[in-house]
Amino acid sequence: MERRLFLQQTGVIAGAAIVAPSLMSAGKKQNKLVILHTNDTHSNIDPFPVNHPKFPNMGGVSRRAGLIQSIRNQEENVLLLDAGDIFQGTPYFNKFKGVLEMKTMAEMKYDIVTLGNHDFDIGMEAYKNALSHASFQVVNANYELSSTPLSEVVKPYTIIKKAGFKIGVFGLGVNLQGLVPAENWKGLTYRDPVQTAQQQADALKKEGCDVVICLSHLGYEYKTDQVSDKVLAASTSGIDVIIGGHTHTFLEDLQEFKNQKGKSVFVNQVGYGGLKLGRIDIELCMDSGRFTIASTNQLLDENII
Amino acid sequence: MRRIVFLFFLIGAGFTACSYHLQIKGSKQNVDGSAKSSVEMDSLIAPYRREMLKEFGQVIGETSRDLVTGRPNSALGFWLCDQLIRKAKDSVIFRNEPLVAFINNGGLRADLPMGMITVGDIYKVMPFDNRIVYLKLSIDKIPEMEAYLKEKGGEPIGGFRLMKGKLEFPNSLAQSKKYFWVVTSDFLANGGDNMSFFNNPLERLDTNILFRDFIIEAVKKEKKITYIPEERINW
Repeated sequence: MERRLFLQQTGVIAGAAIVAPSLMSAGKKQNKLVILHTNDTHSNIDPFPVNHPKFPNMGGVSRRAGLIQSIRNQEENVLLLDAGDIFQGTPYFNKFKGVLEMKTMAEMKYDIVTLGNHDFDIGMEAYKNALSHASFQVVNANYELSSTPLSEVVKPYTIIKKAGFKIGVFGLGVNLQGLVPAENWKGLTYRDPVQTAQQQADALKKEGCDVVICLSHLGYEYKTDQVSDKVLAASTSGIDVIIGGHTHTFLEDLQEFKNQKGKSVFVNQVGYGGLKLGRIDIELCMDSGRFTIASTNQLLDENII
Repeated sequence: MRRIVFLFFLIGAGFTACSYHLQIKGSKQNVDGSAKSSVEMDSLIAPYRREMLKEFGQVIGETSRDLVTGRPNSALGFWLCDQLIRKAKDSVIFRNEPLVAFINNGGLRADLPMGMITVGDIYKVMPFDNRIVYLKLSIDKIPEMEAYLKEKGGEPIGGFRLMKGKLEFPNSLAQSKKYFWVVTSDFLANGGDNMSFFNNPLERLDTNILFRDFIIEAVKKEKKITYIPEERINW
């Protein structure tokens, strides 16, 4: 299932120098970015059993690797992300303490991941140790980690240049209170995800990012007032895409919401267990021959939707 | 062509604005048999798989139907709750006491498919090192439990039922004693999943029994599980 969505986006600033500077250096390369993503893979190295009542013989890291490779063969600019809960769920984790999960993800060339609550299940030292087998970056902006073993290895955000885009990716985690035994996250301070997200989005825009991605382990939606990706999308501005996890939600489609300023934010989540691979294509489209001044552009943007 | 014009404008006129937008398109792909597996990945995993299966591949029993997690009624959760109560009732401490089981659906991490059950399958169901805990609770906690079950849309319970939103004990023992015992996990008893009715119990008995080991023993004991799904929770 596929549908085309248009995101009204920047492009209203007068003056060449400040119009998305990274886009100018794109040269003749087409601006197409392919984001591939997983969430809540939960140590599922092997496919689900053939007699599984819900997902017989689905998933499996080897197939995921094959699928990702086949996409890489066709697409030049792939960004591979994971929204957390890499750990916990099969005996592989109990036995090898997350090392195999990290090794397989390194083999698939994941670029950036965020922290899920289960990634704390055997403590932060163990996560750090498993992570030493990988080469990707870990982002989280709302866990204050400076007095924990993760202070050196987890950054609030990272910026990657790909497909002529300057892409800012930051991470958000769920409140660990009540989810993870307290001794496993000692020294970590939880910060409000909405406020943190706004600060991150503002900072990344200021850095000149063309695309701002939030890797979230907050969960897609709740019946309560707990902060979810839907709440986050509606109560912030500056985020283009939220790639979520935690609630194991199988979204049929990329979901579109309006942010605080009425602009589109897209939210995606692909269930759990590595059963699905999410894909988001971002392309830069010039609005042909409509080079106008800033004030007019604003109107034009609204008409694009 | 358009790009050239674009660049011309950018370079040529500092005051000129441009207009563009990002087109964002989503799609998903099932990771199933249609995806070709990766030879490199297979060889990376193989030695780990061998070692894992040596320890976790042993068949310990079977189930005659799928035991699945879920809400409000969960065959796997209810079967497990019944096993917890059965075990507790073997002990003189609980034999003549009102006793229920209350665990969390979120803590049961996988379904048990119909057929053979291995040690590894139980690790998938209960990967955590949770231990069995007994809590003695005042009967006054019942409304809180009912509200929690409603908010969550059900959790695995045993020894009592939630009928039309009200918890019903099988007899009047709990009412007359004004308390009841709950068998649950240390994770939940320690505040996990915010089951606040477990706070400040009248009494607490900790054990060293891992939930996972308990399930493994329960499967071995039953050999063939023939649990018949029932409706234990409704509103």
